[in-house]
Amino acid sequence: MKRFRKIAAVVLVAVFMLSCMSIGAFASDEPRTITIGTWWDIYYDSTHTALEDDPSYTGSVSDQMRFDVVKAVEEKYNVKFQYVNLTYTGITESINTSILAGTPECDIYLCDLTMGIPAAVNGLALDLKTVLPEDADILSDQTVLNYLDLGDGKACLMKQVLGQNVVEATSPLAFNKQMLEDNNLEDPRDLYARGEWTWDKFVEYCQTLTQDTDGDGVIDQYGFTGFKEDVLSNLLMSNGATIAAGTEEGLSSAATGEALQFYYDLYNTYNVCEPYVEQDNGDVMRFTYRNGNIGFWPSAAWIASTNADYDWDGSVGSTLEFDTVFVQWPTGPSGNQETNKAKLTAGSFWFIPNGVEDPELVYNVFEALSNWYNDDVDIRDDQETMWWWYATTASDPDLQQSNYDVMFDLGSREQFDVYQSLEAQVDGWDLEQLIFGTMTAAQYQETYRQQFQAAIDSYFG
Amino acid sequence: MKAKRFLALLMVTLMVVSVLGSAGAWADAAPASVDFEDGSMSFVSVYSGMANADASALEVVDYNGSKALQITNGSGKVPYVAFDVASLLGDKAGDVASIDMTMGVVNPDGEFYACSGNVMLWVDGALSSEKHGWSVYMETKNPKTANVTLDPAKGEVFSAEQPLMVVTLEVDNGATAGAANATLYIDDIAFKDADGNVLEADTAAAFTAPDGFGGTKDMSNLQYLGADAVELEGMAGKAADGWAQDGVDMTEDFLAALVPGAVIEIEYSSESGDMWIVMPDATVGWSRVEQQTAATNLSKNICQITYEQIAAVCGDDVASWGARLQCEASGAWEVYSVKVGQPTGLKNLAGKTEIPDMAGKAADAWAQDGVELTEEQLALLVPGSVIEISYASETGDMWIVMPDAAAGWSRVGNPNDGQSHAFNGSVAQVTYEQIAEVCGDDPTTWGTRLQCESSGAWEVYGVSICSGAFKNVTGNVEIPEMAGKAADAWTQDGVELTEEQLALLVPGSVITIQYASDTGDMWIVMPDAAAGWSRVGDQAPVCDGNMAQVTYEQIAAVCGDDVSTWGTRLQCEASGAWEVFSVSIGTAAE
Repeated sequence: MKRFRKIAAVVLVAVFMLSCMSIGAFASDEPRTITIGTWWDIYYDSTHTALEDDPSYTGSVSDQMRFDVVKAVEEKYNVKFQYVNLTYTGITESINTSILAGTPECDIYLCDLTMGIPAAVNGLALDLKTVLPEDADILSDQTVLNYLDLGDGKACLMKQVLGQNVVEATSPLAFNKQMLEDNNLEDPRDLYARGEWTWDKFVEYCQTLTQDTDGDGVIDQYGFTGFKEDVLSNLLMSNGATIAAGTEEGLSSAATGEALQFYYDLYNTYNVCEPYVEQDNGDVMRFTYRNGNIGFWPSAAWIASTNADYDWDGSVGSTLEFDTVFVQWPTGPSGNQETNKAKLTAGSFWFIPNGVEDPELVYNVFEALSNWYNDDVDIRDDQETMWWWYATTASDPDLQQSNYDVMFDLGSREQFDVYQSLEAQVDGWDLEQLIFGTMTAAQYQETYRQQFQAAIDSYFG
Repeated sequence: MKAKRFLALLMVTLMVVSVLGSAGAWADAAPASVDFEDGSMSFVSVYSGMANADASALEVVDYNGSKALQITNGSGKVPYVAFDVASLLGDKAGDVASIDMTMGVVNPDGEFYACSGNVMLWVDGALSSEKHGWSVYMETKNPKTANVTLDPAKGEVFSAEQPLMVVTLEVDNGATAGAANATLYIDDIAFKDADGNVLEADTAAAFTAPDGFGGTKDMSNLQYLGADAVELEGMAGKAADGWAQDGVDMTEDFLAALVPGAVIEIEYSSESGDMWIVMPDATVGWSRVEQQTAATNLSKNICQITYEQIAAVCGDDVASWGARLQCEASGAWEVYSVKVGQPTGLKNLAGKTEIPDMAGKAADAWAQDGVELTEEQLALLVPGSVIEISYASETGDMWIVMPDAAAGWSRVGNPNDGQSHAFNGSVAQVTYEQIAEVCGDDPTTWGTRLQCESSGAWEVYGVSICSGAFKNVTGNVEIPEMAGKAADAWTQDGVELTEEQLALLVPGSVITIQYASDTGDMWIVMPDAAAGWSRVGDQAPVCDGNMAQVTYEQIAAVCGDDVSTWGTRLQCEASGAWEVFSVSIGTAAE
């Protein structure tokens, strides 16, 4: 019996040691598998064996580089990695359950702002500043990855730096080049370059351009027009103001009040705006510039392409007789041209959840994967891929480049502010109350301040 | 020594617990209202009221060590599985505060693909827009428990009027990747009250469809037959493989109704979506009629073949057609009913605006009752519009009265007075043009009161003013790349049409879109038209929240008569977030 006990003890000890070895000793040799949760299929990863595994493979240089970087990353970091499509509902569930339980199912999550913001605010997403050295790309040069600044000093939500990611969703101020020239007004781009492009100067320009051109006693040319949502967001950013950029509403701030007052004054004090079409959803007021009687308007590449303003694909011929030129929005009294943000944050992000083993390794792998173009930005943002962004806003190549540069500059200065997403929860909110002068800026702030705070409280959880 | 015994006992206990746990013996230990162990699923039904609804097969099978409800996808669309919670729980249904249930997915190829869907309640006579997502997103967590917490503030309360819980499987990564559709398993449904107590269910309860549940039979592209249509006995349940026939001899009643103008209507399922008839004993020889060309609804589960189409193949003399009628399809098929009747002229209508105060109006024979129309309702009476009445009457007829018309007190559509309009005993439709014929062309002279009347005692269940009628379309060719396109409000998405698809756009052609949108509307965009970026059909959309149609002529009115200038891209758009389930191009039957 004693011998049996001894044998049993030896066996138990052996089993225990083997068990321990399986956790520790063997782990160092096996490549770690890094799981990246998504809600759409992304190529390439360690499971793919051929370029053709990507259904959208076209044989381009960038396809080959995205395929090759997989092997390079695997060897450099001794890892395997896999994009796993969890579905949108699944990724939301995984974030809210597994990270909270301390055992994240993925090493990196793709997210949109709806899931990313609560994850960052509630501590589910890792603050990269706590694990990365200061010279990590995302915390320094930001040539490969940047992060969404939520104003809390943390770096949780990553975004890959791509030309298209930068220029998309930008809303530059556009002007009618010939109209300004006909009125002997200096190119606003030059004023901006000298730091002289301000709200005051903008009003001065608009007043000059607002005219009765045929002498019938009726104003028929206007300094400014624009869809209400496009205008407010840019006036806010140009004055350093936000409404829902954090857990405290900014509607009642002085800077927001100035932006609202300026919006009110453009229509009701300076009277330099084209009459606004009531309850327009953007179909009308975004496009009246095409009539050729508007000096300035909020534009975008997609707005210019909607009616083929400049025949970007050569199929229909240019449909405008004047040139559209993009410029940064003028700076408001509380704004600062050097620090003003210029594009509302949108789109998808990535984050490493808290609780992941060796997050620095995970970050390094993700940065290396994201830099599949090996720092060659010309390949990343090759002209063929980006051609539409150049050609759609102008016919003249110099103007195409200039307009693209403005979009890129605006897109490089993102502002996190989710106020547009929350407007639907604010009963009565309608900027036409300012446009038509039925409410003053101060009344507007006071009327909707509390509702906005409630919506923000709900959003940030 | 005692310590050793204690340790030994502890180890044995741990081993037993471990073995029991790993074998899944405790898998069903959590209390459930419905565990399917008795094999009953009488309280479950497939819901087919959505344009993207799949005709899924339901069965209780062994799954993961116990019995579970198996939902097998039939056509690649979205399964909607309805549970009659009110019948299951009786007077406790209103106590349900949360629901737990086990969800599992299996793909026929043996691989794991993540799936997700929604759980919804039946609120105010329709599926609620309030959705509770479920997902099975990792192989190691398949099956997995889904949790739903109801929000009474949003109407999520079970009752006799709101009896249903509907479960969908909407995202199937396997199908997206080109594999077969996943099979869904549901087990161990626990309906819990606010204190977390699991409510006991009567699993012998029978599914009782609420109002509206079965009222959405897809009649797109089809004619409505009269209530006196004759069923061909013996056909229900007939089934065969692709290109194989089966049928019965036509009964005397059926033959008596098979007269000029008559329409044979077949309800069926087939792997290929098609269905036609065969007359094997026709004097002209064994004859297929409308092989792969029969008028078919968009759900591809009802087709119609006219008397004239049979006569074109078998001759004008019915006596020479032979007694036997068979069905056939190019894929394995099953038939649920075959009937013949006369079309009533009722149309599939779009853009319905209900006149709420009309519901419940009733009167004796030749007595009228109605309402004063509001300015908004009167403004809907424009050329092409149709008044639709849902009703019951002792004599089966129903028409309207305009008592204050300048032309005098006016009946419109009284069949006893030689006036014609479409009705079938439960639905009547009166067109703007029929009213104009009686009351004059100027609707401002029609008066503001609208009344109903019948030759028998009657009751009206609902009256709507509809913006127009859908066209019946034949020869629909689907644009497969459009399925699944989706975007936010006022955002477009679409495809580049092939040359073959562009060639389908000829005068008389119709683009039919099956969709869902938050606002119910849907139209198309031709972004590359030479006339400029163009919306078509947005001003007066012919749509009903499930289906929209845009005609060639509507596009031509915006983009010009030359199709070659329309550009090659076709996009969809709506004023609310939208998703398209199918887009097809066919030819108007009228």
